[in-house]
Amino acid sequence: MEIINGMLSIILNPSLIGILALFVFLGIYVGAMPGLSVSMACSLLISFTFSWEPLPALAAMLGAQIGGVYGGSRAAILLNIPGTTAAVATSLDGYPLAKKGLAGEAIAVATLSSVMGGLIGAVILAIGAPLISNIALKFAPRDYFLLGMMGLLLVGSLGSESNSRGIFTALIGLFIGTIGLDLVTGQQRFAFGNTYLMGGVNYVVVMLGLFGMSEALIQLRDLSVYPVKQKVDNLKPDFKGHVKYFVLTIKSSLIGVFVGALPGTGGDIAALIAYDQAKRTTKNPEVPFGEGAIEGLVAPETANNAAIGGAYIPMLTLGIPGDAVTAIILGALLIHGLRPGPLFMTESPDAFGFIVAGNFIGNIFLLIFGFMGIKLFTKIVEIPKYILMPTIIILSVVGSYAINNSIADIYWMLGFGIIGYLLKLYHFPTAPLILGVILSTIIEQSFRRAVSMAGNSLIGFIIDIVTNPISLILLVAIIFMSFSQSNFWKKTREKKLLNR
Amino acid sequence: MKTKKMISLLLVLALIAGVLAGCSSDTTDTSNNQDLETTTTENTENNGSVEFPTKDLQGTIMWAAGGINDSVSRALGPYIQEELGKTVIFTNRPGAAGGIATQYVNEQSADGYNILFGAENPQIAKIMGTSNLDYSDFIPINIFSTTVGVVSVRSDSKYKTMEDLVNDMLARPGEVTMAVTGPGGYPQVADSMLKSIVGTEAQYVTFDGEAGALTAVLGEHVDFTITTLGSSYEMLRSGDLVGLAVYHTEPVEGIEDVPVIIDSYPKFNDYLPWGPFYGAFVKNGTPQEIVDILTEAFERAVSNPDYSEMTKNLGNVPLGIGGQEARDFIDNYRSVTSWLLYDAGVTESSPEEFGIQRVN
Amino acid sequence: MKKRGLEKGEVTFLLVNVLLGIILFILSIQIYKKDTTLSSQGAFPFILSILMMVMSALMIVELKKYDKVDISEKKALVKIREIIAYIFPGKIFPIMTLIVIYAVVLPRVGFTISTFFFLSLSLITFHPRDIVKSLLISAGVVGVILVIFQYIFKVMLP
Repeated sequence: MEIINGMLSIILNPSLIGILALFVFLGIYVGAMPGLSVSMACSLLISFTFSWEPLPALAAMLGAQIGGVYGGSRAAILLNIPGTTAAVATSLDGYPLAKKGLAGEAIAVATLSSVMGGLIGAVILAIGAPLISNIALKFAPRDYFLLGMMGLLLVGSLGSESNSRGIFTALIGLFIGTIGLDLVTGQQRFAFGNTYLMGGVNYVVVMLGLFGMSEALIQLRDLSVYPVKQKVDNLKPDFKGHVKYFVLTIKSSLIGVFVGALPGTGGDIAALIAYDQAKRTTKNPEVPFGEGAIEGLVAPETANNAAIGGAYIPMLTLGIPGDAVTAIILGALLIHGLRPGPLFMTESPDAFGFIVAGNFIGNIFLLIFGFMGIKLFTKIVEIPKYILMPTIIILSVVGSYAINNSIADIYWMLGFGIIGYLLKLYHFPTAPLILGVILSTIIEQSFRRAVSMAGNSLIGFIIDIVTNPISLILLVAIIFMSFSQSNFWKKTREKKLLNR
Repeated sequence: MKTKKMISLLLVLALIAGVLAGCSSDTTDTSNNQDLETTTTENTENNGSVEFPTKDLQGTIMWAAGGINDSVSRALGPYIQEELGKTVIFTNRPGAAGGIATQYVNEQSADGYNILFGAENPQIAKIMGTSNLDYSDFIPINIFSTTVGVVSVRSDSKYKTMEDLVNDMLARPGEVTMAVTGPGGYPQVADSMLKSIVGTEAQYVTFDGEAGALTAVLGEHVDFTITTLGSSYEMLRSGDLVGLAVYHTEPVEGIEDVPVIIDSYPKFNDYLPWGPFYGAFVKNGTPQEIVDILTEAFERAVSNPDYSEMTKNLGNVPLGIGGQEARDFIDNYRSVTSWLLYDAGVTESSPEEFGIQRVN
Repeated sequence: MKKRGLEKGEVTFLLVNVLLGIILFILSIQIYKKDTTLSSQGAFPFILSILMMVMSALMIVELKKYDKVDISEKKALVKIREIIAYIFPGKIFPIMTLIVIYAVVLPRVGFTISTFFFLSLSLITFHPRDIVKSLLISAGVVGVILVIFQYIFKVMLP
């Protein structure tokens, strides 16, 4: 009952709704700017909202989170620069659509998918939180490892002309992730005594360089290619059209909520796995994946917004953050005197209800604001390249500096920009590299934990996987996934189809 | 045609800027008194000839967002702002058990604008080999609070008392698993104390911070852990975790039913009371007048009753000491803990190499 | 299945990658040999570098599927020139130079000035006739970025 009270408290309070709306709106633009991150915005917000009452402060941060995760898709679609890591998968099919002049449609689909995912995430948060958190707890390090590997398998389906090139770039990414001080021993790895390297290479720097700057350079090679005129008829949410993606939406939401609920993984991994799943299960997309398949937009956007609801599950039921942003919000809750933990739902049910309702309403606003100004945004793509590209480079510079106020980040970003440029020039896929960087920590650390829990023996590790239901299921899924995309399987299928 | 597009670009950018400018609070000048209801806003203190601060302060937090170090630091921010009139802008720089943060602040100028918000870990960084810096390279402004450690297991664990756990570890050395947070982290230090006194040998599994360690215990992936009260407070209150012992000399408010470890193993009296602490530091070489201004401001901020209340809710014990008292406190911690770890055989070097004297 | 022709410099690039794999392997071994348990800090990089070498070898093997351009017929200098032409067509070289200058100048002169010059010079490089317009646009863009980032979001600019 108290929970309902909590929910009503926001529904009936115009100023709270107003704050939520405002910050969703702001969040969208923060997320859309490459270089500004949702975590950064939320940290700023903690100090900013400290003197407010807990509820308005929470509304502000929740709004920023919802808007921000969605906003990342804008830059991903329009400029091939994911505004947030969660939008990396979105750029794979979003950007090709923009290049074809369909940016408006892409943004519309992305918006609708995000809203759907967010709403479903909120529902599951409301009814299934304790249940899911119990299951999430059972995930051992070996399961995180398997999950990370699943995300990495996406490499295979990223449509490069040669599997080995894709795997090679992914390996580079994984390697880059190991640079720095080792989490366990505190010793330097591949840092050569350089203070910057000891802190590791920041994935935002890699992303800005690899996607932002290198793409800008590639575009500048051939100025005779004029930006395609965008189709921008009156864009409204296409609910009817979205129905055909119903199953995909549900599946992606479930993936999103669950992966978000695992402490330590968030929307980015969820989006990748969802994208991969969509690719494998969509038999005949109208457009092939990687060239503008709508399904390739629906899946990741649904998943990453559903992951927001998911990330709140462990935070509110155990006091353990589900991802980087909820970690910050956790701190904010503590500062405001709330105590997230196993007793949260019983001691502060109104706050819980508030968060659930906030998730719902926030997503409704997302729908409204998301569709406002699409035309304006798509016009950005029509800006002459010779102005737009240098501006992108500047934004990449600002974004890299903004992470840690360090000039070194800028130089590394430039370095990655050049590497990315060369990679693209020589037909190497660049997406696996960023994938490798993002997934490196979770794969390596989970692997090492799992192995040390098995007494440092490879055999023990494998036995652990095979004898535990969750791990076994994940392993079978991975085997199936990698098998189904190998050339052997594809050729056998072709033969079968020919013989009919 | 081109002109039209350029105009639309400018319009778009201007529109965005305009909207954002309209919606957010103040913008123009650098002194940011935002929405805070400040009853008394003391602007730049003028002790003698120094005007400080004249711009915002940079706060570097040693551990990740959402943790205790992070919460006690950020929560102090607004109270500092009341005292000094400038905002503290916080950034988290976790890694290497505080090494990354100390390194960063050490590289900035010693002008009082770069403040390190850290925990106790740097005091053993040198002997553990995780950093070349410790708090002897910094000046303590204030030690906000301390906390104690709790040995926790899952509620349905087979270990019902501390003796159960210890005896099992003695019977099967290297097989009972313990969640730790890496070399120099509190769990490892606490376990070293246990090892010195009782001779147990646990198998470490390293996680990302105490939240990760506790999750592992809850999920039955490891047998036990020893973390600060702050991280485990909520789970102990709910009963999901059970505290087998608390590293203190008397029962602790909030978890009164957790047995005091000296009851089972009196030798702990040689070390306790002892525990992690959280405080603010500036680099050596910061001018004394600025140090004095900061010390006074922090002391007033920390003693604010609302802040103390929040501190206690987090499972910490408010302390609020500055100046020489703070220096003695952290140096004592350094001696006790360094020799403790050395005796347990887990260090890279001997405390003697750094001039650290034995205390007991 | 006939595949595309090789780009100029592609073989060189692939060889660079092979070299990279070997270098990383050597580096990883140095870490790994200190502690060869599976959960040590050297194990993962070690495995990665081995896989990298395997992949780079595979990439070289795959070359046979491509339309090969005559590699032996041209003099080394000509080949190098062609590679450079491929990597730096049109205005790329001036732009890259501008970027490098921008990066070097940035910490010394500050954001506003260096960005303004970078942007104006870039625009002028492409449209040498519209100098005034370029200057105005640059000023506008720099101004907007300043407002958005520095004042509204309170992000520090270089």
